[in-house]
Amino acid sequence: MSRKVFITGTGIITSIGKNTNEHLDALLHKHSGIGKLELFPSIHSETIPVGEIKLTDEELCSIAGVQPNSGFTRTALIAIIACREALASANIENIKEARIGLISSTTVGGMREFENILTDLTDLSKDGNFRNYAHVTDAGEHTERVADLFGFKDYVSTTSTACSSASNAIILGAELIKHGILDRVVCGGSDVLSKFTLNGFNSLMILDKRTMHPFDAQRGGVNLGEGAAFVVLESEEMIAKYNKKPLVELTGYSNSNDAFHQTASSPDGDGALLSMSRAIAMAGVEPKAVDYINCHGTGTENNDLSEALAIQKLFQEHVPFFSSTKPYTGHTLAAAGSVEAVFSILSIHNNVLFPNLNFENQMPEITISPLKELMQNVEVKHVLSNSFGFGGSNTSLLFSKV
Amino acid sequence: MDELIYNLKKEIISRLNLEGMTPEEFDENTPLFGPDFGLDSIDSLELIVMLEKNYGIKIEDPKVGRQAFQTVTTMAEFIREQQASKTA
Amino acid sequence: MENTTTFYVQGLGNISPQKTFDNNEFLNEISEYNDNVLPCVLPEFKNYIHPVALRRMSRLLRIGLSAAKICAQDAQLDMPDAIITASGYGAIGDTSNFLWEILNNGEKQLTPTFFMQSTYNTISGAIAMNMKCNNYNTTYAHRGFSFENALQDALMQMTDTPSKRILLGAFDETNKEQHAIKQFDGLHKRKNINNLTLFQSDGQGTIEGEGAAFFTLGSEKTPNAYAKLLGVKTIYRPEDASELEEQINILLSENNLEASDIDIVINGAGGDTALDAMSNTALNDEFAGKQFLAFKHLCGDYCTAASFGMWLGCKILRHQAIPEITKMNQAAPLSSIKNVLVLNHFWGKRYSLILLQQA
Repeated sequence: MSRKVFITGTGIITSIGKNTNEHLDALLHKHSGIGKLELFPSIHSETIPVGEIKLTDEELCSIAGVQPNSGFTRTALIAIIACREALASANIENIKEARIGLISSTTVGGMREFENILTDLTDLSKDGNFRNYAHVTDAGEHTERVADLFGFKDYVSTTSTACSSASNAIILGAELIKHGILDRVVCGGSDVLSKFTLNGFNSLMILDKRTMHPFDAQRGGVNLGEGAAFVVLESEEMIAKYNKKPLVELTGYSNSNDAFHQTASSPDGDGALLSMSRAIAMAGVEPKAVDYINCHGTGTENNDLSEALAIQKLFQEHVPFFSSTKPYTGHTLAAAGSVEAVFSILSIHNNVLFPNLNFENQMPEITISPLKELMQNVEVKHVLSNSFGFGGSNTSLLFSKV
Repeated sequence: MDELIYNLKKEIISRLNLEGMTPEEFDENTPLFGPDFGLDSIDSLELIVMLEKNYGIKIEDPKVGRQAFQTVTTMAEFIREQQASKTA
Repeated sequence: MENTTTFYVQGLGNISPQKTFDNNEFLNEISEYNDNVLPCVLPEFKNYIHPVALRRMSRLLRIGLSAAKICAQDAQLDMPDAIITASGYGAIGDTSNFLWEILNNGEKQLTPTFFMQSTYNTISGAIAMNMKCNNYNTTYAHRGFSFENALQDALMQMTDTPSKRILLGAFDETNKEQHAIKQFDGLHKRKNINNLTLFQSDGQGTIEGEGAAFFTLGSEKTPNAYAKLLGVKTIYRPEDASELEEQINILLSENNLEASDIDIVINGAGGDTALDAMSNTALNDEFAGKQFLAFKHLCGDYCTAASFGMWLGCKILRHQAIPEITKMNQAAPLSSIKNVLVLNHFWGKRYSLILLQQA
């Protein structure tokens, strides 16, 4: 049995597009989705820029094909939209034709809806439409909405490791295929903007009041975003059986832990170094063969320095092009790993490298700097994608041209 | 003991859950972020919130916080300065 | 992929509404509760966590980290090759605290510690920091499958690398708001009962529990080993009892066993007649005459309660004794207990099987 895992489909929705093609277009034209928070009231809406999907919940219901106010959270709605595209893009019309799993991820779940109805929900004398959202707080709730809509039954799971969640979902999916438990797995994540996360990150004082500047000497933190993205993983047997042309191969991955602090990365970059080097080693690839790194690059003082130092240490004279694409979409939290997996796949498939928007000032502590401009017509064979989360969770994925 | 310093000690003990510590044992000149107390960046953020809640002083830049919170004495000085410039 | 390696449960650490944190005991004392909420019987946290680290930790973090330490000590595990955790609702206490602060303070003067500790993988990260472990670390958060997903991950890793020793645990905590919400929907009982009468009560709704159960898994049969972990299965939305039975038979035959080989069945029934129906039917069809045990009258129901069931199975296999308080029927006495099957369900939609064997 082959131990290879391929990716045959992608689906994505963020502030820069409702599907993969719209994202490619935005990336190529340097269109950022960062702007003012408009769709829910907050005292921060004038001061904190975000990557908001400019579609109301009603509009999302319409696109997703479900009834409004029937219990579908925004997290579930965008997950449905992205999952539908992923299945279509992988030409999977009949879910039951093979053993297929769904592994999603989220940090916020249904908190956006829950935070508005908490007081009513806990009053046993009150009833109403809001009770449709009674059980939406936990991470697995949205996954089951997606599973039930599309008929996933063989394996349903949810990961939640903060900003590395979707990457860990992809790793689990790959392992399930390699161990012959599943033939296909749809892996990814979904997170939406909410008062909870906006205020949470604000309390940690890591939000930039301007649009974010990853790897810039004057970076001021992150812009939050919302989004959902899924990739379809398939075994080599499935590729042969259904005569598919895969988009890329998932050749390497690594999950390691910084074991340093709950919300900060080890300042010398050791955590990032470990996850990147292990992912590359798993693929049997030399560091110098990596063409591009889609960085975690959140624009915080701590992450960007830590990640850049790790890149310098690992790649030495052969530092590949690298950038953070978070200035396009904002940081989509749990979904970031799968959003950026899609961008990595687009990079390989379209021979293009996406720039690190808003970069102006070299960080004095390092000698390297990110890609400032779009690069086209470049052969991209191996792309490394990093996602580093709270709790010291460091995950790196390596995608390779087929 | 200076009243502000005494209150600050009580508030810090409470806010940061320094169980078993009393204001009398709490040396106002020992570095808060050194090996004795072992406070970290999150504690610094908690102290920023405490200052806003209890003294109406808002710190926007966490670096300003770290500077002001070196010891309980420097915290008290910072508070007095901020309050003086408000009334000025 | 065919697995030829045997996996053992080398250590346990369980903090639950019963006094289970002391591995030298086995349900010697039974705690009773009369308001449908079963909180943990707590150890002295200072025995496991440094006071300076303890100060900022939420209740669930203290419980989870302590259970992990108890387990690691029990297995003499200094450095896990992986830390895998599972939780249905995560650190819901901190999540609630932060949420109420936002609502009550109008998004001002918020406590960063609550937010920081509200992520599902807070405990996983804390264990890694405590043990200085840079190895694989992840958290599963899918309701009644969280624990089983974690077990599946561990089994796959150990199949690839038999030398791996994995520290794996599941935890969930009681929460006032969630309890109220579930009472409204009839998932939790409104009428107070004594927990030990759960299966004699009105059959409507279950009772709320919590716990943190950790297991050290490895391929070596250590002197302290409790049981073999033969396999785990999750079944999502089975159509009927026969689908459950089919999956039971598949799991058994994958391990060269038949229904008649099972000595004890541990039933994760929660006390709601309608929701328990399918698993009760499947178990009665497959294992008529066998000794059935229950555990949710002891620990309550929560997303990761199957971990208590697995703990129970491990302890029974090691001690070769069944606590009377867990028996649902009086089957013929057993000369030895070799094979134990745990069948759990969560809200009647998510079913799981855990197959254990004497070490």
